[in-house]
Amino acid sequence: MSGRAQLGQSVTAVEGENFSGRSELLRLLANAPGTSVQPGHQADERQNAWLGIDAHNYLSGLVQTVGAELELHGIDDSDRRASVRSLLEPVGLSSLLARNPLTLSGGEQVVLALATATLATRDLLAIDCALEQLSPTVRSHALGVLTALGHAGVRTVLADNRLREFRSQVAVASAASLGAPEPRLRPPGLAAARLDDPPAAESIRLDDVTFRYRKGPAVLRGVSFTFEPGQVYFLKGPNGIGKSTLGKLLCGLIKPERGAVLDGHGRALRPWRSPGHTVGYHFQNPDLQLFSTSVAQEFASGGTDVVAAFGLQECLGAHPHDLPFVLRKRVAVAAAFARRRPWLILDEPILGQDDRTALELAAMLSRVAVGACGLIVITHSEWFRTLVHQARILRLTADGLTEEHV
Amino acid sequence: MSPGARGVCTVLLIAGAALSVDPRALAVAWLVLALAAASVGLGGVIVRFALVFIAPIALGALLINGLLHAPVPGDQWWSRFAVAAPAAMALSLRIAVIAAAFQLCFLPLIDGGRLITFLRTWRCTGRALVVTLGGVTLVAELKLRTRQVLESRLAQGLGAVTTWGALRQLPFVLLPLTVYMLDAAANRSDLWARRNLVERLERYRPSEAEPGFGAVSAAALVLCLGWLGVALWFR
Repeated sequence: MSGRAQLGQSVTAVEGENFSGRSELLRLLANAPGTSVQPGHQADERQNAWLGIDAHNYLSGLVQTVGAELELHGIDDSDRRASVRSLLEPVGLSSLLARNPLTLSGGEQVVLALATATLATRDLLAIDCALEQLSPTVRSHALGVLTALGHAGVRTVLADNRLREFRSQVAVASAASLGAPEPRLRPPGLAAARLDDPPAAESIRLDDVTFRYRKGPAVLRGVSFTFEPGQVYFLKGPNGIGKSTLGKLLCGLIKPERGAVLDGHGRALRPWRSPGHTVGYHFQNPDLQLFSTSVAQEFASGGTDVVAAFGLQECLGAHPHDLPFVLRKRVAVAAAFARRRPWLILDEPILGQDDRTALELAAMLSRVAVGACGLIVITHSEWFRTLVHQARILRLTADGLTEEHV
Repeated sequence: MSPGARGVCTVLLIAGAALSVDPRALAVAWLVLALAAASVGLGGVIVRFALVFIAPIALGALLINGLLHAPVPGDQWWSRFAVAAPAAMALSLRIAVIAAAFQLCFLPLIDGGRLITFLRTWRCTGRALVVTLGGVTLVAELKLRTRQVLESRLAQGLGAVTTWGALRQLPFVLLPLTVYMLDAAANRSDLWARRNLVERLERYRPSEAEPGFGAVSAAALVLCLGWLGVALWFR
């Protein structure tokens, strides 16, 4: 591949929008699945590693603990041990060696998959948007570790839409300069249209809420906060701190062990009796949220305005699972809007989306929040938070949920 | 318990359950297994399994043996209940004991990550080892993803929290689940090939060692042999 000669010695970020051929380029560089391996490249193939946005697919599925996964990938007989331990430290994974990888949070799974990929590669590590799921601290640390690996001869090439805050840590090259394949036709963007209003939302008050998963330590401890309608809340916090758990609790998918979920008048809301009716929740992974055999069927119960606003008219006839990740994510977010719940939680809605789409989505969220509904957005992107008009920023820590006044 | 003794005990327990026809002996065996499971924190699993799966089987067997199978034309319904009930109980308890034996012997291995050592002891190596381990993980993953798809439906207000509500969601669960599992299978097989994981698995020695043959293994073997003797005696 001609582009390989132009890669930096450590970490190179490939600049480009969605559909610019970035992912295909990365796949070609790493001889990843879906690319035609040229004769003579077989030896290289096993020196390279590829990490996609769906990090859980890059764990072996052969062992049942984090420790065993690392041992299987060769942590004990490798000179990478220090790098891997360093990667695991910021998310506390080194103290979770007995945990089943399946039960880790999204960000923790990315870190584990990254650790195993660094153990596997001897030449080139290609990462396609996976790091977007990491908190800024962990991400910066991971880039530092990858830079250090560069000195040991392992080059990293990554596609990442949220590199804005980390540009000083990487060399940047355009997809075209590295010999990316022809860009694909970009589908229409999000339109500057206003969505039909959902039913008016009421306040939701969390009163001293505590929650723990079975046999585990408390994930949420004494969380108290009142969510007011007509607002966009951004929820941030380190990987594995319980952001998604808090979302599930508001939605009613789980029941607090202690404390109460109340409405604006102080009455018990008990969302677990009819989950998803007051608070809808769009999860991070779109693939488990697309239930129909065509995009049109996803919106069968209404949402013509949402389809138009999200620029999905052209893919209405397509099977949702045939679409690329970027569009699958967009369809899943749009479907969540189409349900018209008074409150909506969006978990990493800009995962895999380029800056242009993120800007369009931010404008849409600002318009939606003008109405009577409420939005809670879980994201690690500081930049995205600044785009939404009058957004309120909440930080979840082990001590509870607090609002940051900017 | 040593991997060898664990395997032999499982076989003896299952053989005893398959040979036994006495519901009282089977009930005692199940109780002993449930207590043993409780001592290693698995009592809840065994009791839950009995309530969710075995109890409906027992009821069904009772109805079939008591109403449909045993009575001859002209007999009154339930006239042979005294014959049907023990047969139904023996059938259900036999399944319960076999399931409990499997759960007690293998669940600690899976949760503790010691399955590889056990399988190797019993000469399960190479591709067979990969397929077995992949299968075990697949069951856990399938369960997790099913729950996640159901949660996704609920999160959008498209289901009900009752068991019946979850069952009604089954047609909607199948599509994302199938796509997801096929995708995961393709990715995993590629990953195994690229990272030499099949060869690595051959060389991999888990840090958590299985204990050798000791007093616990000997006691377990004696108990299981005793159970087989009881099962044969009461035939």
